[in-house]
Amino acid sequence: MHQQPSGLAGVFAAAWPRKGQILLACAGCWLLYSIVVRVKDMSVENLGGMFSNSISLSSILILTALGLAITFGVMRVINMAHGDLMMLGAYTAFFFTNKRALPIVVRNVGNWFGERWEFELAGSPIDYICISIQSATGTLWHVDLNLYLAIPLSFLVVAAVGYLMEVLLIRHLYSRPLDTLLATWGVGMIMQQSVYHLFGPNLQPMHMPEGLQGGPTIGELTIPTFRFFIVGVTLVCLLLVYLWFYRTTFGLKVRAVVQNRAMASALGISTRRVDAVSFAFASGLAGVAGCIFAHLYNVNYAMGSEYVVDAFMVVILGGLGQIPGAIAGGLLIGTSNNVITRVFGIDEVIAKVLVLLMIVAFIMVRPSGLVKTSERTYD
Amino acid sequence: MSELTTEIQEGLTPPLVAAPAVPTAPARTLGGRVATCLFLVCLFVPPFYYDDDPYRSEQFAKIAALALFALSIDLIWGYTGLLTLGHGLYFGLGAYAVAYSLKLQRAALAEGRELIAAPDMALPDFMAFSRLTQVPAWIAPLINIYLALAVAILVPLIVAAIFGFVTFRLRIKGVYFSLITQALILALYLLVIRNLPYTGGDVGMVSLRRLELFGFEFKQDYDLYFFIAGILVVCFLGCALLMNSKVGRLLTAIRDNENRVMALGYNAALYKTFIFTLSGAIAGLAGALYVCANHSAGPKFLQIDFSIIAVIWVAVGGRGTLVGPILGAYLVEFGKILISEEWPFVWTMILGVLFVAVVLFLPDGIVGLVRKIFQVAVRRLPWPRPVA
Repeated sequence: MHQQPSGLAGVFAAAWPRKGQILLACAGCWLLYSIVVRVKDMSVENLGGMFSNSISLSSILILTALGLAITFGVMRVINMAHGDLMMLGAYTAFFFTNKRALPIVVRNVGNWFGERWEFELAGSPIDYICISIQSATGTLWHVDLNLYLAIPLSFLVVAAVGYLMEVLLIRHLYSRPLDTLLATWGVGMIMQQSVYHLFGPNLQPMHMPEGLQGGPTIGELTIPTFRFFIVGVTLVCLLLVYLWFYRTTFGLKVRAVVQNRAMASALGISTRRVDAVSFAFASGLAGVAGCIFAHLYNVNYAMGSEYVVDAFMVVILGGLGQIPGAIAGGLLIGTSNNVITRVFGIDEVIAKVLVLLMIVAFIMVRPSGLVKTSERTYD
Repeated sequence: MSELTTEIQEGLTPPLVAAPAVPTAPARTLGGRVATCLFLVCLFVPPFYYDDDPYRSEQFAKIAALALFALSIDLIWGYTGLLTLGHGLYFGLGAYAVAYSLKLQRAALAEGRELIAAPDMALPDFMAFSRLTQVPAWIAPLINIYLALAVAILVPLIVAAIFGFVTFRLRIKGVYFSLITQALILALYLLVIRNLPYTGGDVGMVSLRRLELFGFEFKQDYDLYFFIAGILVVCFLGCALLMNSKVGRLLTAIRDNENRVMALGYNAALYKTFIFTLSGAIAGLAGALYVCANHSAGPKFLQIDFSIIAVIWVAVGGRGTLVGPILGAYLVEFGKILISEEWPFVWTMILGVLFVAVVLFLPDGIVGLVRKIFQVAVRRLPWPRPVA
């Protein structure tokens, strides 16, 4: 019988096999302690700003990564065109809500043929479509449909593009995961160039509906209403994905295909249809994310390749094969980015670098990510 | 009914396991060797063809350096099956090391000083613009070009060795490996952009001095091309020797079935670390040579696009062959130059289509296609056949 060493030696012997975890826990405690020490001295405005920034950045990241969590996490297709699908969503929103869009497109198409095609749409530049109920005393109810209309439109258009992509290209590459990466990158380049030639290099700023401008004020801090809107959109998208995944027959089929493709196929599920529709749905979510991005940041035709790495980081940090993983990953990255800049006063870019390196280290130590799925596969 | 059957049949093939790649041994046949030798000789032809055009010579010198970079990616991707999306990191490290040297030399020559590291040495313009008073101590010694060349190979080598050792010991592979390399290069890119006083920021280092080695200044890109192409051929031959040895066969075996290799008692992680280190060193050398031909260095090398386009050279030429990446780099890059001269804006579109087309229709690249045609020709034509 093996003799257990006693006393301090025993503690060491027991701890040694878990040295990595203990080291990580110590580092975590130290980090937490130093955060708490600094947070105590921070003002309420600063803290509130940090909190609202964290939440909004996290929800943006989650929104970005949600589609990818389906295509990459669940279908194992490495879709490098995800960022470009977002870009497509942003441009769809621009096309349908800004009256300058159509003339720009027509002019650029004319340029290809060496002709000058010019025209303008009447009306003020911002309101393309609105509903307003007037009475004799004034406007009773007025709503710009710009953003509210753009979100579903972006979803539909980008979902259609995603469907085409799956049917024409990705379907033939399921057995070669690394090749999908290259092929989808090529598709992304094609999308970027098409948009560049149609719309020109820069997207004009989008108009924000009046209801979403401004926001509540705490002391000197103003939290834009749009942030609440982003969180709301993210929650709605999450709810949709949940309902679609766990509460519909089609979602059941998707889960069956994910778990065991051969068996699902033998039971009569059309795996091709499941793949195509899932991919289209995920692309649509990317479109929604792009639509939000267009109202938040400056958007150009090459924005996709900037954000796609972030999105992949969120998904692998969270763990493949799980939607909750993407939520956890997004929350963690969004929060840590803000905590590093605000609490430790480190420059934003350096903070991003630090977060990237931490993610890399984490994935190396624990490739299964934050939320682990048990899989029974060879290797 | 028939649709259902095909679907079931397709469903039965395991989707997540990579299709067994066709083992492509390095050319061991006589025909293969003759073709390879011919190809290597052909590498020295372009400067003769364009010898009256310094503009073209410069472009070909750059392409030769890029071909070396493609070769380094092929070692790790084509032979070992690890798709790296951030190999520009090693290329960039090599490039910046030599760029520092040539930039410092230019600044020193402009002030008529000696080319040695000293506390009061001449400041390059980008450092002066950002109000640095003297050259940082870790950059100053790089003014010696031999030291810079050594650093350009050794630093990528060491970085690749450390990264490879950790990654492969933890058995990171496949998509994770690709995405981690991508994250690392993004981190370095952000750092370089951010530290303008030390790296030149967004612009990098421009208008560098011409390379001078052992008292010979490469005044013409014509000479430089032969220098770079010579190194390329030496590296090619070295890699050919390595890949024809047992190590090369083991690497291919790791690509095709790593578990089986490990079950046979080989330390797969060690072999992978070795090839990754070698690949990093060659990439660093390629970066160093590219800067000599390009006369500028910038964060462009650290952008994700650059690394992925390098992967497409390998894919176009033929992964898992040594001729492939060189051929791919030459064809794609020269094609880019010719097409961009004629129609300035269509190149990126063509590149995108090329990506998709090669992956879909030519998974073995041009070399694979030529091989297949050759094999079919050998089989179909009425050759006098040896009696089996």
